[in-house]
Amino acid sequence: MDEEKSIFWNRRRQTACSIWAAVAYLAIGLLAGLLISPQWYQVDYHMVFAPPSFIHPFGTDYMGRDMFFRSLKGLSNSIMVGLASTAVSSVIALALGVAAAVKGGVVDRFVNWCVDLCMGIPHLILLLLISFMMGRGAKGVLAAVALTHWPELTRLVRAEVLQICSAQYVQASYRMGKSWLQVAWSHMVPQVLPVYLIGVVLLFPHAIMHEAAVTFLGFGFPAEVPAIGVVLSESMSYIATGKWWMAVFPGLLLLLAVLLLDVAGENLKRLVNPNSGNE
Amino acid sequence: MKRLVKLVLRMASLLAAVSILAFLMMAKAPMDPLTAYIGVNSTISEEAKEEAIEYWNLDGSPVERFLAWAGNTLKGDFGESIVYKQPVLTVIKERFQYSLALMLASWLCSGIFGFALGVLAAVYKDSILDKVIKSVCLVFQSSPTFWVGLLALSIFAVNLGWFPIGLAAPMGKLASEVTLGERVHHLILPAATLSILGIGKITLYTRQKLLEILGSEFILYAKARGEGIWQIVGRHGLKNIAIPAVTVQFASFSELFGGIALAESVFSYPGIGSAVTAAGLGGDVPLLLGIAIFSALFVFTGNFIANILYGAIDPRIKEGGFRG
Amino acid sequence: MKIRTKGMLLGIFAALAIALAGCGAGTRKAGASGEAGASDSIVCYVGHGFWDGSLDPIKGGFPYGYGFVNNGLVQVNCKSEYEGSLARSWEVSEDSLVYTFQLREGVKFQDGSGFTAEDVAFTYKTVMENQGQNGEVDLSKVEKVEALGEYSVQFTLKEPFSPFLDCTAQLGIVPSKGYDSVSFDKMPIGTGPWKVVQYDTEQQLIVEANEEYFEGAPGIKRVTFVDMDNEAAFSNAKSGQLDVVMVQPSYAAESVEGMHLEKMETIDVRNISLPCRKPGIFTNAEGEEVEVGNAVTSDVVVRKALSIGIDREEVIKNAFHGVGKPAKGWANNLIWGEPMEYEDSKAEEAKELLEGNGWVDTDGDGIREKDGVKCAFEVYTPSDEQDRYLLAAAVAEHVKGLGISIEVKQTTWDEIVTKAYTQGVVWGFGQFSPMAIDNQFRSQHFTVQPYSNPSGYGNALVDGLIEKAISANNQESAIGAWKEAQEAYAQDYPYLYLVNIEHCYFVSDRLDISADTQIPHPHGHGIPIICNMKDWKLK
Repeated sequence: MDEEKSIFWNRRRQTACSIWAAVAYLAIGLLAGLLISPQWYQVDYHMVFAPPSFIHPFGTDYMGRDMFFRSLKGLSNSIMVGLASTAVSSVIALALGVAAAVKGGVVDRFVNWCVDLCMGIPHLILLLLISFMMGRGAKGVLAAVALTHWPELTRLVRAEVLQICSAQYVQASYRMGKSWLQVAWSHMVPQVLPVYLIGVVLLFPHAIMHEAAVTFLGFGFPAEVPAIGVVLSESMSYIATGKWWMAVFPGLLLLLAVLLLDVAGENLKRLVNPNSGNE
Repeated sequence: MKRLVKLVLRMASLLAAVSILAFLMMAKAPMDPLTAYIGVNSTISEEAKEEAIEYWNLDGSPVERFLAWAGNTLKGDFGESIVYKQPVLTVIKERFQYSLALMLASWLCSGIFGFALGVLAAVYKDSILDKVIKSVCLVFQSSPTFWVGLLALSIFAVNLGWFPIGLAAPMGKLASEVTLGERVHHLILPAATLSILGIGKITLYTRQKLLEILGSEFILYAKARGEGIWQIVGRHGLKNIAIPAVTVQFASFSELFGGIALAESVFSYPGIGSAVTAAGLGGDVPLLLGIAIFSALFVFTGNFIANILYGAIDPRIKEGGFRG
Repeated sequence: MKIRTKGMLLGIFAALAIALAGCGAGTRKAGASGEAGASDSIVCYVGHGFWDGSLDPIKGGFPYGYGFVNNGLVQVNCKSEYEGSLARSWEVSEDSLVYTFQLREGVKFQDGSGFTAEDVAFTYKTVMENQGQNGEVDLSKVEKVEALGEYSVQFTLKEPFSPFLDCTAQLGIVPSKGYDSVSFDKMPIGTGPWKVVQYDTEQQLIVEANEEYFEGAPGIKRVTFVDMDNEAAFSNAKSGQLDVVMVQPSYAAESVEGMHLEKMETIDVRNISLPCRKPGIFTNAEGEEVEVGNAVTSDVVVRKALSIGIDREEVIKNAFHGVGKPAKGWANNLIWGEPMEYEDSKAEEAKELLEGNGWVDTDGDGIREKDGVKCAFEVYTPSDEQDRYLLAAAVAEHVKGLGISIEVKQTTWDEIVTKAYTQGVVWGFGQFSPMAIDNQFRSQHFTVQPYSNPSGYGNALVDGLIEKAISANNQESAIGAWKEAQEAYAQDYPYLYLVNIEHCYFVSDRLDISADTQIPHPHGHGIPIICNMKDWKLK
């Protein structure tokens, strides 16, 4: 019986399962956000500070707004920012990483220097600075998260590309007269793609978390927009009076999103490269 | 020696670049330079305004303004913080002491516990303990720091009352009378919260490294000789993973610094993290610039030490990148 | 690396961490410990105000009209009237340009030196020479000040300025010989009932009773003010560590063992500025073009509908749990305050008014329109004051019933000042000087400063009455003119007055804060409760 079980849950099935779980959660989160109408988390002064119950699974806040729908909408906002900024960051990383590895020389040194620069300032400080420069708000946090997540990914891409740069078929391509762009597109990118995509998947949850952190500190979504960071920062004022549900549930939603994505990413990584993580 | 010089030069060039970058960002912020330096609510006289404009060259082009600022900064004058109405260096100095204590405490905490847990997980590989440790680490790594802080505050400070709610020392007491014990008492919750972030990474890394070593041949030989698992770990394992573990710790300065902004915000801890938040929200350009430079210096130092410590032992780490 | 070496290293690190934790910041002075529960000292939390700026009266410290470390010539009493503090009496000349004060004799400063007219002259002259550093006391109308003998001082004004008396209440007197501009920021010296013994930046302020105070030594010997977050303060109060804690209205429903709730009357009013001009471009005094005006609020019918249509009691109940009194104008605990006569909660009448003027909901979305413009506008609140956001949100919720849509946005002051001319902003005003009216309603102030006349109100009659009040040569005619001005602008509803707030505090049961000698609190969040601290007693 056990044997069959462990064969059923082989690595591929596990990975597929975790990916589906993550995608499903994200999709629900995203869709829910788009479908939820503001009516459902309206202000209702009669129901202020209601603890979790059947009608209000996550309780209500200081203006009587339903926490469940508000948190869900907030999660959706965070996911959207996360998606957008991950997309931007990953494109930048791919371009820079390939360029650095393939062109080498000055370009490589410059890209390395940029990476060091970005990693030299503590990540959160950089986020705050960029957000401040963009005037805070949703625009600020989007720009900040998008522009600060490319360094690690760039390093990854560059390392991978370097490995195949010296391969025979690449050299052959050059000899046959292809320009470096063509070589990059037809040979490098496909090779790098698996590891790259995993890197992107692992990047996504961090983008979401950072958006929430920046908003929590006051540099992201403004207070009237439902966002996890906003909800959590508001809840801080009410912990002292024992309204614990305002902090616990929104955080859980965020945690779940990040966790599922991390697990999916780790599984993918192990599938592609069984050595990493050493089981 | 030459490597050292090269490293120092690189640090200097990066520091200069950081200041230029930070300054550019301030310059682009939608705020007129004079207001950025003296604040929105300022009621100082016209003469005083003129003085400020001259000193910081505020009506010059961005390049001129930067040169003026750089010149003053190199002389040690970082200007005055709008939010705290004190010289920037004073604010940074006062608050950094608190933050340093917090960072050291959580750094030690995550280092020691992470190391211990990692060893346990490797030794008892595939057991329930290992699985539990791995899952807990994964959850820790995925938790938003500030949320964990809020939970800790809610449970341990409000509900159970074991720890004070915020601040660095009990109130109403003269500074000279606050005992060390009290300061440590106030430090525990924020430090614990911060260390949650680092523990996961250290644990998993330690576990991986130890497993690799345990799978090598001389361990096999030791086992054949009849050494018990703990003897093996103690005699052969720990030595080999200690340095890499400590190295990774040093390289995580960057993330640590980011974490303190969040932890200090939740616990009303008067450190540099809360100063950065206040500066950003209050449009306090001089303080923001000062802290940006300072934190970059801090991170460089950390990376510097890390580089020295392991030299080129494990280039894979360098290329693999750290989670930011 | 051997395990022992590693252990040693870790040990060193641990010691370092603990040692560093032992460091801290603050200016120190020796003294006994102050804890809640001690027999003659108390610990209080009254907000962050003490550490926000300088405590030096010359630079605008403690400008509330009562004595704390320093006394002014005049002070405010619990009926909002001016009575002598360091001055025994005063006279104003016929042309209202010369004010002569007879000073109290035999008063000593906390450093032992005697108080004379020389100190008064010195204080006022120093402020006049450094007016840029003092944003609270405006002495720009003073021509000169001179000491006539040891206990008599004379002020000559450039033009009649009836609110001058308020300046003399706001400005505390500093010793001419002992004054030091640097140390007075944190540890000022004065004639008042309290002297500062320790000032720790952003942490605490400790004061001790001045036994030689000329009105009698305070009953309590030592007070510690602490600085922290509102929530942290409340939690500390719950664990019995604070004798007085300022709380936001949302905490008023809580109960704390050993403490009772005190709601203090204030002269502090919250209102929403409603831009009165139609959208357009305005050239300001510096020749710059500024966008001003709002298509919706520029219609006086909308403004009137808002003012008469909302039920202020309901709004206060929702936003502040009922803490606070409805306000339709300046509070009448001000000697110049004119309570407005109209009734509110007349929702039906408001709706009729709107319909009758073309604001009809044609597309069924619940919001009225007129000529294609939706009856909707934004209201901005500062992000560091949660209660203003709560108030605006409650109002927004409430006016949905009238078919008006208000979108509340929370942001920082630097963004608010860019929006103040085109959208609504929640303001808080509470001062004893009637110059608040000048500040808010005088047409010349528009675009000079975002905090002055943000509505862009322009009414020549009101301007004239304001001038008349300022240049009056006696208090009665001045007050009369101020009241007339208020009646004149009442028809235009340039501001939506909402609530006369109440300051809430939890006070320990062992402390008697002498509630009947408290003055109505001016703007200052929690601090004004200390106005009569010399009368406090421990039971």
